[in-house]
This record gives sequence, C-alpha cells and structure tokens, in this order.
Amino acid sequence: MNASLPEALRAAFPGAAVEERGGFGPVLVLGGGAALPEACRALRSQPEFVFDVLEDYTALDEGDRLQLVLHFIRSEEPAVQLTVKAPVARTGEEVPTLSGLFGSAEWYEREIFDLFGVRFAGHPDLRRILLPEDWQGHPLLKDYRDDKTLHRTGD
Amino acid sequence: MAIVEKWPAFTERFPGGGLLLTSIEFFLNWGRKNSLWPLTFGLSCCAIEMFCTGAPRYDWARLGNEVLRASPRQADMMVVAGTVCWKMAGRIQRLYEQMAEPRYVIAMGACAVSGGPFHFDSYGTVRGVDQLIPVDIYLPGCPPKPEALLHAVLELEKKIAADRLPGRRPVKGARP
Amino acid sequence: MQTLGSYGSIVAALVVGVTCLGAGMFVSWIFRPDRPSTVKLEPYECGEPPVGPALVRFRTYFYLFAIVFVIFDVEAVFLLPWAVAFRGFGLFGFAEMLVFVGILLLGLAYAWRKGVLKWQ
Repeated sequence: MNASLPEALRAAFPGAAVEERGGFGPVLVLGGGAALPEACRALRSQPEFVFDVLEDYTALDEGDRLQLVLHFIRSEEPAVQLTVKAPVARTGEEVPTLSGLFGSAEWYEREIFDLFGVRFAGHPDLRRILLPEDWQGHPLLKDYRDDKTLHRTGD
Repeated sequence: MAIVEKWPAFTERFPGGGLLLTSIEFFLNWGRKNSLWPLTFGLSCCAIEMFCTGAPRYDWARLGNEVLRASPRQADMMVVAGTVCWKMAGRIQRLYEQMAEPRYVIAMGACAVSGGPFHFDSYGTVRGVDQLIPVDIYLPGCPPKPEALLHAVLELEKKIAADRLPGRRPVKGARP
Repeated sequence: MQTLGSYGSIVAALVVGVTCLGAGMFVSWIFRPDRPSTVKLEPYECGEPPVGPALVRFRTYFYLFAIVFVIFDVEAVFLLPWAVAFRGFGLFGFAEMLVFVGILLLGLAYAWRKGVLKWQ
C-alpha cells in the first residue's frame, strides 16, 4: 500500500502535486485553501485512502504567503501518514472550515486564527485560544513586533 | 478596619506593653508559620517538583503544609509554580485577592521569578509573577529541587517569625 | 434549694463548651486582619468572574424520599417497644399491631405504584 500511495494520490487529485519523501509519507500539495474540504472528504471516504484521523493542522509563514499544513493518519492498519499542504494568502483570504469533517479541526483552526490571523468560513466559534481575548496582532507571522511585552536586547 | 489595627499601638505605650506584645507576636507567628496551607497553583513543570515535595520522600507536611487547598479561602500561601502566561494573569490576580490575610507568595522556579527561559523572545509570557502580585520569597531553579522548595518554605517561616502586629513602631534595622 | 443532681453535669458541660467556643472566637477576633475588598467578597469561581445567580432549583424528589423515610422510620420506632413487650399483650395486641402495619402497608403499596421508590 505504501508503494502505490503516491500513484493513487496522483490519480485521484489530478490538479495537485505529490512529493515523495523517503521514510516519511508523501506530501500532497493542493492548489489553494478552497480545495481543502473536498480533498479531505475524498481522503477520508475513498476506500484506497481512508485517512480518517487529522493528527495536526497548522500553518507556516513563507514570507510571501502562508502554507497550511495538515497531517493525516489512518486509524487502522497499515498506519500510513500523509501530509497535505495548501497555500493561502497572508491576509484577506477566508479558508473553508474542516470542523464539520474532523472534530479536532475546530480547535486547530482556532489556533491558526490566533497565531496567524487566517479566518475560517463556517467555523462555529472562531476566537483566540492561546492568547487572551483582547490581544492585538498574530504572533507567529514573521513581521510581528511587540514592544510592550517583549524585552529584546538589541534588535 | 479590624480591632487588631488599634490595640497594639495602645498597649505599647504602657510599661511592659512592649514585652507583652513581643510575646504575643512570638506565639502568633509560631502558629501561623507552622501551618501554612498552600494554594494549588502548579502551572507547569515546577508543579511536578512541588508534588514531589508533598510526596513521602521530601514531605512538606512535616513543616505544617498539611494539605494543598484548591480554594483561596482556605489557603495561606500561594506557591506560583510554573510559567505565567498572559491568559492566566487575570486569574492569578483574582485568586490572590480572594485569599484571606495573612497571605504569602512563593515564586517557584525561574519562570515565576523573572520569566525564566522565556524572558527575551516570548510573546505570551509574563516576565515574572511579581508583575502581578507581591512576592515574599523568590526561588530560582528550573525546576528547583524539592529540597530547594523546602528551603524556600523555611525561609518564609523565618520571614513570618519576624512579623509584627500592625501599628507597632518598627525595630531599627529590621525589614519594614 | 434542691440539688441539681445529674442535671448539674449537663449544665457544666454546656457552660464549658460555650466558654471554649467563645474564647476561641474572641481570641480570633482580636488578632485577625479584616480587609474586605470588592474582589475578595466575590464568590470563588476558580479565578473566573462568576456567571449567573447562585440560587439553584432543588429536585423535589429529595422531599418525597425524606417523607417516605420518616413515615417508615416512625413505624419502626413504634414496632420496637411493641416487640419488646409482645408476650404480655396476647392475641389482642398482635391483632392491633397487624392493623397498624396493614394501614401503613397500604401506604407503601400506593407509594410503590406511584413510582416513588425508584430513584429519579
């Protein structure tokens, strides 16, 4: 199953790129955040995939854009891992929520909203989860600067 | 205003009053320092060392900290064990204010003393719990060993033994 | 004046108890600090500001449970001295107690039918 997984992904997602990494699972790179719900539904329900556990859902700031990164794993044998990436714009883009498909996505998306500022359309309760409610700014963006609470030396 | 704010200054003016007050203070402080019930305030890793201090090998119950009370109404001492985040800051202040006097605070661990490893580049950490509440004993360590926490409690007991009744003239050279 | 007899020791115990309590509370009062503040007087809610009123609605089933217990407890209290003096009463006493227990059995059957004996 491991050997054929990248081919199966390429066949099921013609518009997406599939990178292979030796030792870890493959990486499915989608075209954008809007394609996420459809792709995740297919990954969960199609019999050759059955990735039904969302292990992690986070984001990376790549300078000109953000990259949403999801880690899936199967709950039955063989326990194969899959990484899904989807680029989104740094500001202004609303990504459709996955909280209807995966229950764990609800708080993961709150964390991404808290730390990166990405809004999720259709999320039942989108508010900050790690920082206080009245915090200004999104700290994990590379251009975040906070002079009141940080004590920087130099810089 | 409690009655204890008035009568020590009054008693002190009589001959022998000072001796009486010092003896009263001795017993009052002895009772208070040997029965400091901590408020459960373990926030992160230092909490594990605090549990070990309560466990049989180090056992701070023999110093009088018999039970960890979860309610501030029943606790004398707040041991802030762990990193303080901005999200927790409001709760710490409210709980400290809900404790009844006399109340004491031990800042346990580098994070509670000054922000610890998060002092420079963290966005969400308070740089030391003394930015929020007054601290009596600072205990550095990451985490401090249980023996260090026992030492901190003993230092707090020495501090309590030097407490005076309100309204008394301060002793020259002593802590105000 | 008549001697108090054994009542004297009860009065003494009462006086000693009240004195100990009063002395303890008095000593506390002259030594304790008293600095109320708005936040200190708020109800404890683990550090969060309290939400909602503190009065809650009780389940009425507790009342029914207590009533049924009291009735049958009093019945047991009546049964015990009757059982002790049973031999002296003869058939008449036996029949009288049967009538008493029978009336209460009717009440028990009614409560059972109404479902009061099942925990709700």
